[in-house]
Amino acid sequence: MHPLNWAIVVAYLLYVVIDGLRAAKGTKEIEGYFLANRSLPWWAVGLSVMATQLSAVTMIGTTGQGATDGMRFVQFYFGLPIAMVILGVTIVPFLHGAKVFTAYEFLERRFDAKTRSLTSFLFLVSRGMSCGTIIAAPAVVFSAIFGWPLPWCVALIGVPTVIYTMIGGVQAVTWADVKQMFLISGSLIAIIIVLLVKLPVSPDNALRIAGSVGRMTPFDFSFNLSETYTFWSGILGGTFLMLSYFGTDQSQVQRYLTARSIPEARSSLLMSAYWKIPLQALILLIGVLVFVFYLFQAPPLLWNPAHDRSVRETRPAAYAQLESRYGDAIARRTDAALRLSDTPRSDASAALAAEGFRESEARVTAIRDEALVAAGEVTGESARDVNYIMPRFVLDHLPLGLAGFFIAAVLAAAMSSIAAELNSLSTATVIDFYRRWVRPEASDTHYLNVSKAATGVWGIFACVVATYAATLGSLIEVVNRFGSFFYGSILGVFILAMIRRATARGAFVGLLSGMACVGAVSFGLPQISFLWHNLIGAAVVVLVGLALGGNPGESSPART
Amino acid sequence: MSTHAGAPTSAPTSAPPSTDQSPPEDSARFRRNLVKVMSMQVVALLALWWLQARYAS
Repeated sequence: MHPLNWAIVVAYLLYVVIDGLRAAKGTKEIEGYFLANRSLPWWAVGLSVMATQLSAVTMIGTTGQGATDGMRFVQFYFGLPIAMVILGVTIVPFLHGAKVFTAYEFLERRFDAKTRSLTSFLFLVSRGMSCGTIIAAPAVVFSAIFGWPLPWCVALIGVPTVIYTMIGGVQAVTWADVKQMFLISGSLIAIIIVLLVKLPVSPDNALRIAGSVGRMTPFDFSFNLSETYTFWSGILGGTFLMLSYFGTDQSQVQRYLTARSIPEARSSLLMSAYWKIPLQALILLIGVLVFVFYLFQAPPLLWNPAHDRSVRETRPAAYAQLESRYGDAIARRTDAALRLSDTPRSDASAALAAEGFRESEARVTAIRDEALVAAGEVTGESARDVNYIMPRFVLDHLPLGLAGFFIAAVLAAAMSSIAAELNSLSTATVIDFYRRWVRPEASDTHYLNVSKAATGVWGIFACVVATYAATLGSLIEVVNRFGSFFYGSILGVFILAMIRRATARGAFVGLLSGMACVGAVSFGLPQISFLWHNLIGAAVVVLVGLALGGNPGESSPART
Repeated sequence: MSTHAGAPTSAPTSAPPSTDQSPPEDSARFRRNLVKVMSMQVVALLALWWLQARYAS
């Protein structure tokens, strides 16, 4: 990469750390460190919610998914606006009004200490692990592209984030998120402009070419439980996933607990709901345009440069032959794409031109599949290289300076998600465990120091996990799948908390039953997509909880 | 420098501990925002539908 691009990346990293240290000056008490004294404006909280959800996985994984699979992933987010509205009128008023530090603290007030501790513990386990995978996603890509050792890349992302989160607390996290969101949006818009300028066909024809090979199909109405991304899994499963994530995951709850008031907390969620589907559609559309761009520019046979080197060195003759066949297939595909673009839509030969393009695309895909199999055999790693498409495009084809901004934006996206998670992991550790069970009486200064230490320890843990999570397959799915084991069941407990007849025993047994049921479904019926696990978990917890609940007006067992 | 009493801070209750006490103007603002959000979703879904109708083969 050009030194100017590196200068932009280094300048960004220094700015984030210095800005975080500046934010630390106003943080002297634990409420300021964890909740910014509940003083942040709704728009800052809303941007922070969006930035936290928009991770590096979104920047490199979702665009790659758009390039290879088209627009259908957008259905995953169809439930988000519905979930935000439901949360705005249900959980947000309860949590914000209860003046709690963590969502799980609320469960002790409603039920008992063991329900609080178990839900908080599940959060710590799942978020601690997922934080590692969020660091791993860009670290693996940077390592392969720049040829650096993986631990260096993990440190490049992890160390500045841990520093500003540890010292600045939620103030630093939120205001860094706001700036990072602008950087991310700016770089996405710049990429779209570059793509539109560089494409040799009109945008209309570009989308027509992409559509002819199934990349312009954002809706799939088939009711298929084994298909992850359908309209119904997005609306039903996605709503429950988003309800669980935004309603019960401390990394999200803590964002809106920093808002000045309940209406401001609600508005911050609605802001996120407002932009989410258009933003995700735009990111996928960038991927689709990158696919079209590479119809007219020779793409590499393997997007992962490390795998490319390995296969080239280990099987030089076979790989050269594959590359030769690939080159021919690419040339034929380019001709077919131009023919389709030049054929008017109303022309009788349009269907024939589309069919010709589909056949040429199938040939290219078949040769690439052979190369991926070889890469898997040679390296012993997952050969899936979707996450490398966007970085390769950026580094090979973006104008000078813009590549640096994109790399900085990927770092920004990673840091905003990691910072929020580290901050929330520290909050749950200190509030739900240390202050609750170890040291109930201590000064604010003591808790503040313990909180900073906890942030640092979780940061180190996440970096270690990231180093070992590197060989996982599709990271975007791993992160979501991991959460789905617990999310639905925890949501079920929060739903029970709002039902008068629910009792502490019902909530606790329901939680265990929900997780057991999701585990059984996950391993016993693996064909059921993970998006449905949230709905199953929540439903089982509520049903069991209500079955074990007392009559209306009856006291909770914990009170007797 | 304040100190914090250890949790549990209050006894478990059988009813939810808090409800929304927002003033009417806040509720009105929430409703207005809600309408904006849902309108945006309808526009986004229609735009996606149009993309599929025009470009999907």
